[in-house]
Amino acid sequence: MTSAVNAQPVPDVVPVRTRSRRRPGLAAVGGTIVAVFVVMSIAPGLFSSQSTTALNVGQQFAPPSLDHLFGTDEVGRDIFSRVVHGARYTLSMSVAIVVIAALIGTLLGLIAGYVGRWVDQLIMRVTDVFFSLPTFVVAMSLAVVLGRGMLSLVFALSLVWWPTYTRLVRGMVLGIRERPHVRSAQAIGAGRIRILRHHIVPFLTHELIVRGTQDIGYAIVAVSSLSFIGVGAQPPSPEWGLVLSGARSYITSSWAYPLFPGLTIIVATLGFSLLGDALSDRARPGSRRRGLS
Amino acid sequence: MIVVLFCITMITFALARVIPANPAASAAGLGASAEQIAAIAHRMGLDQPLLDQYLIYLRGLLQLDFGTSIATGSSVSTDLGHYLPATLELIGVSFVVYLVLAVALGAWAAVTRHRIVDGTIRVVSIISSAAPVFWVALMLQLVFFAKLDWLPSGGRLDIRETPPDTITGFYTIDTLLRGDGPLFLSAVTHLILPVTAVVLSLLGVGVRLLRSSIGAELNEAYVRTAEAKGMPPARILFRHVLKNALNPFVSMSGVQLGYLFAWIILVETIMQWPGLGLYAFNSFQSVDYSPIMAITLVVTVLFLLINLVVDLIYPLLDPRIRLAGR
Repeated sequence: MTSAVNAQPVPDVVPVRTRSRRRPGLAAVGGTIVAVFVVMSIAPGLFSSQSTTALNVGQQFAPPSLDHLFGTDEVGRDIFSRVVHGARYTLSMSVAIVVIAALIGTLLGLIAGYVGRWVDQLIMRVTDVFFSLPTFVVAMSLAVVLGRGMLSLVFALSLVWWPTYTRLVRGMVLGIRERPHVRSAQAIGAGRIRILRHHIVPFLTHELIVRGTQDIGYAIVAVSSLSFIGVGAQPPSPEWGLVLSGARSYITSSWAYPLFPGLTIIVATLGFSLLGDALSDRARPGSRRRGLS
Repeated sequence: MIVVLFCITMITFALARVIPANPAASAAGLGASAEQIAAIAHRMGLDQPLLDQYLIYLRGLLQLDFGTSIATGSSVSTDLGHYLPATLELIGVSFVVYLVLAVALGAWAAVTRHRIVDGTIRVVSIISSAAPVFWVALMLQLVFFAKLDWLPSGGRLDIRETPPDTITGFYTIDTLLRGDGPLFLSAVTHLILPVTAVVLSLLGVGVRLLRSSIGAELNEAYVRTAEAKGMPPARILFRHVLKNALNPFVSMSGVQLGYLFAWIILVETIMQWPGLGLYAFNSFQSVDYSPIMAITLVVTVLFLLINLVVDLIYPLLDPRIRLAGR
């Protein structure tokens, strides 16, 4: 593999924040959705004052109403407040997975791209193996073996998620390290760590934030899927996948029960991917200014 | 590929034998005495050095011995033989439907370039990328079983019906071979919902890719030449354009097919489709290591094989690649 083939296009300067000219509307929508869900995870009480665990057998499978926006479940719990309180679990797991994967992946990518030689070969062969595995199944069995629970789920998914970041970062580093400013830093005798920190990493952050934001959306789907089949969060947690797993047995009794938690997942996923798209638009060549580096 | 296979056997071995605190205790079940656990540990070879254990494990794999399932009590390879045809039938039918629909819709969208068509495709692909497949399956059940009662909620046949004698293990084919019309219809109606769920979740990406690749080919000079010669549009599309436009789609759908074997677990669980996925789900519930590792291995092997096959048919479809290799 030659560096020319794998080098990824990187903007010449650390991107300057400019207004997105392409789809300002969608960017705002994505941003708002994400903001709402973040607030919801931090302070669920703002959205719903009802208890997530209060049983109310008389109120089984109540259809949506002003009292119960999303209706109630098989033991009369308010589904809306369960979804609101569940945001914390689903989102924190998704964010944790992406952050851990990005940290591991970036570190290995930096080493592979900058050190090169056999270290590069070794790291890239390992990532190749990961790429040729059906990661979803591997993560699933890993999570089962580690003991079903949220921590194992986060661990298992981040363990299969980092290789994409390694590839991304390595590719970018290969491009950046040939730039004049890195050459100059090397020439005046800057140490490796210093060059990486001050002359290479700043060029990576934007791309990583974009990718990370989009990945959180995918992580939400992955987390809720695994919790749905009982590998992740355990009852009575109101994690979204787990709420849907409960709904599975009652589709003849209530249409609202399976519908709304799923729509919530879709809205959250879309929010993160719209925001990610909007962020990546900002890095497009339109905002590029030559001669600043 | 061999290296990857080797790696995955090491991973599953580690998962099954090294990471769990005491596999013998979990195999013996709750309330087993210390002697019973020791006896099981001896039978499982856990008292031997790790490398020997690994070699024994590998030798077992070569003889298709995946161990015994604690939950079903039979050997995992028997279980796999029992469940695999159901999964292959579901995936096979889904994938054929998907390929036909994707090409048809992609070509239609590229030729008409209608705003409504484009809009619909965009919405479908957004849904298929953001909606978890298990939720799509759940919604299909809600609408077509719970509300309309048009289709069965799950399974391969009704509980009252006896499955056809196994010839291929594919109920649709077996019932046809036996000439059992009603049972064939039942098998087909049971396939509709799971197949729809799978196809919907694949379709968005495929149609979008085909629309753009067919759209790009339609602008080529050879299309204008053919039109100028008076060739009928359908012939131009099928004879010339599709040949060139299908390549990116083939490689992408190969990848999709590989991943399909992984997340089919979700669809099978909801639709109670008695295939590998439901077997996996039940093994997850009972934390039954041997089948979990066997399924991980089988899915990985299938995944690798599919990638290999795609690499092999790619040059068959595209002479440019075939000739460039010479």
